[in-house]
Amino acid sequence: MGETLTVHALRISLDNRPLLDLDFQVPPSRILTIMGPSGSGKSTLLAWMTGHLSPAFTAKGRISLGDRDLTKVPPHLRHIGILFQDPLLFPHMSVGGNIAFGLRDPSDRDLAVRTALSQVDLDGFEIRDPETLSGGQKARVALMRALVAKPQALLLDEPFSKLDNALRDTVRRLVFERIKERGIPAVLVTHDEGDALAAGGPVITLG
Amino acid sequence: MGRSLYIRWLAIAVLVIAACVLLSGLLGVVLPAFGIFPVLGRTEPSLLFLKSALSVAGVWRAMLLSLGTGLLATALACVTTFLLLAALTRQARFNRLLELAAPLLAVPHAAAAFGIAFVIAPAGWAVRLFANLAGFDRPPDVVILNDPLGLSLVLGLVAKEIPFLLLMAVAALSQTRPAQSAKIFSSLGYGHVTGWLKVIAPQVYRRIRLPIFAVLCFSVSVVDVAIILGPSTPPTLSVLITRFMSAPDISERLIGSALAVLQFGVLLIALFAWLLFERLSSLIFKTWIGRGIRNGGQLLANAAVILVFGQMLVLAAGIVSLVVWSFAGFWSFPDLWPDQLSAKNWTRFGPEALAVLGPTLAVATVSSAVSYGLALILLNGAQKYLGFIYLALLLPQVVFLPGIANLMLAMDIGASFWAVVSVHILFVLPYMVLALYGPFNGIDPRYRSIALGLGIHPFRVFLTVTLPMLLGPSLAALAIGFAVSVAQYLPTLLIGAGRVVTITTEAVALASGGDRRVIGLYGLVQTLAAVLPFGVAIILPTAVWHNRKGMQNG
Repeated sequence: MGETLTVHALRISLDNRPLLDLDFQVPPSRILTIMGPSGSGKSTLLAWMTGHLSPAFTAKGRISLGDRDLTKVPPHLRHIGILFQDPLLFPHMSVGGNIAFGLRDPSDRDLAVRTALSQVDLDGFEIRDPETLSGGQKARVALMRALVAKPQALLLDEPFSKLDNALRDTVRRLVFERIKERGIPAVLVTHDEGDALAAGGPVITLG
Repeated sequence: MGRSLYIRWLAIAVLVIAACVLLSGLLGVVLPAFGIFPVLGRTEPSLLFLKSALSVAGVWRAMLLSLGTGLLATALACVTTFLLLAALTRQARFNRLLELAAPLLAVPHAAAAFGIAFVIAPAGWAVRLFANLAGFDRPPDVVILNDPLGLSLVLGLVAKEIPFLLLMAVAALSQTRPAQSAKIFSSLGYGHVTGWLKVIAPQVYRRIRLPIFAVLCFSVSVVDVAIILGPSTPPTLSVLITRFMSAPDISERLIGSALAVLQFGVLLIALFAWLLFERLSSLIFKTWIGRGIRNGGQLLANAAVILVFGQMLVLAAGIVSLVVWSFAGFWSFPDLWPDQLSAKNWTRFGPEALAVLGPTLAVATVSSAVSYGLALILLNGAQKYLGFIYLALLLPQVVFLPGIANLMLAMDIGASFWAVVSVHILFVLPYMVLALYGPFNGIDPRYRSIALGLGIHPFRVFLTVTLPMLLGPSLAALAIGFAVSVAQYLPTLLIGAGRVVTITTEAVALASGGDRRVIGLYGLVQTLAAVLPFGVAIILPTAVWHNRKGMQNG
């Protein structure tokens, strides 16, 4: 079971103009949805949470998982996974290579990759070139790549916005089920109210 | 972040070291020029050597030659490039032309100059062809090569600079939305050439001013091409400096240094003249634009196309002539082909050429590998300050390299493989940075975010995500760096001081000998050494990523 993700007294500003002022908690298995128009700071929030905020911004506040303060922890030690609107599978690796890249314990790499692919109905796709997959297949591989790394929280930056309606429902259901199954907190950034409804958690509207 | 801070400091250290080397090179020239040269016990400032430099036989003419040929070559290359772009950018064959231009860039200047010499000399291919058509059987008694006005030198420079400016301009062109501009000026009734010159050319020019200045700096101070194609009594100023700096008597270096200061003055005058030329062209251009003339310029543009194709033909024929001469037996005038072809020249001179090929490849391999590492450090840590690294391209080699040679002498640092490598890096690194800048910044930063989010250490992310994605551009950059190193003449000559010789220093040294078979052989070996890595850079990524569609466009 995961731990609660807390963002405490966050204030992000750009050129001395306040952009974000937030305070929230996301318990394990819950998905907090952040909505708002373009430029309201949604992606900036995720960049800060993962430790990739551009130096052009100034940020004050704290982020923690359980009682572990992550504010000054380097990105690769935060254990916060992220999914973007593009699956961004590493183009130089096979599908299996993409999944294995996130494995923390490489001792039984092949079995772990097979199991992960099987969970998203992509059995036998290990040696496939990511470019030969459909949009939905890519999204599922990206999800499993994020999950095999055993993140303690997952951030979703409009991950369904480029999928067509039918596929969108399927992938969305899959992602939300996996998050709940793993018992980790998640933050979903979206423009789409349907995503917010499906996530079923609290909603914060920016801007 | 600790890591990024570490990389930033490392990058800044690289820039500071490069700047220090350049500055100390300048200082190493200025001090001896003003009489301070402790190696010879001179510690008091004096104007004696500047005065001596100004009274060297032919120095004024040498300065005029450098200025005139440099300005003329740059202006011709620049005007021709723009007219060519105006004429051809909307045509499908334009891409074919670019495909032709790219490999020509890799041909070392010296080899290209030899090739051109073989074509345009009184007994060269062009004259032989004309002799066959006109029916004469002796080479004409005219000075074509090494002419006193430096016109063959201008031809050699223009032939190599047009492909460079063309590729720079095409890269800049993509930032100017040319297709949309073309639609607009066409709808206003402008012909393509006129519209392109009035609307797009000024935008492109603004973006490639720095490369144009680099071309000007190079043309005003080039040494190897000037030795091969330029006049010899007097030669250009840069050749004169090289003679003084390589003289066995160390005291000659004082005059050589004073001449280098004069060369810097010539460069400043050239830059000033170019700025005036820019201002004047801008005035004429504005008047022309204001008149609303819709058509015209087509004739000039067509002339530019013919000129460029002619230049490329001469250059390509020159490279072929290197091959032919290297295998030629007896070849009488006006025959277009030797009486016999054999491997005799190769069995006789090949071993010597191959002996110097070893150090050439070693210097090129080490300097391009080190520069590649440094370029990655700079791109990771100091993108804001990259402009400093281009200083080495904007300062004439002949101005600061003698200073480095003087300082090495003063500090009792002998000529060595590593000294030559270090100086080569100064020139290889800027080209590497130029080649990698676009691809490096073109990688979607979200790949890195994803990888770090998976808990992977940043260095491993760099090794396993960034570097493989950069395989194609990295190999291209390494090939460019390799070619740049192979082509370096003056750095090897002055810093290697005869103890480190490369195929380029040997080839240029042969220029005065005049044995075309040996020159052809050395020129060919030099060309192959510079061009072959490009083949690897093209083939290897295709082979490695044959089953990765997402990696097949670079």
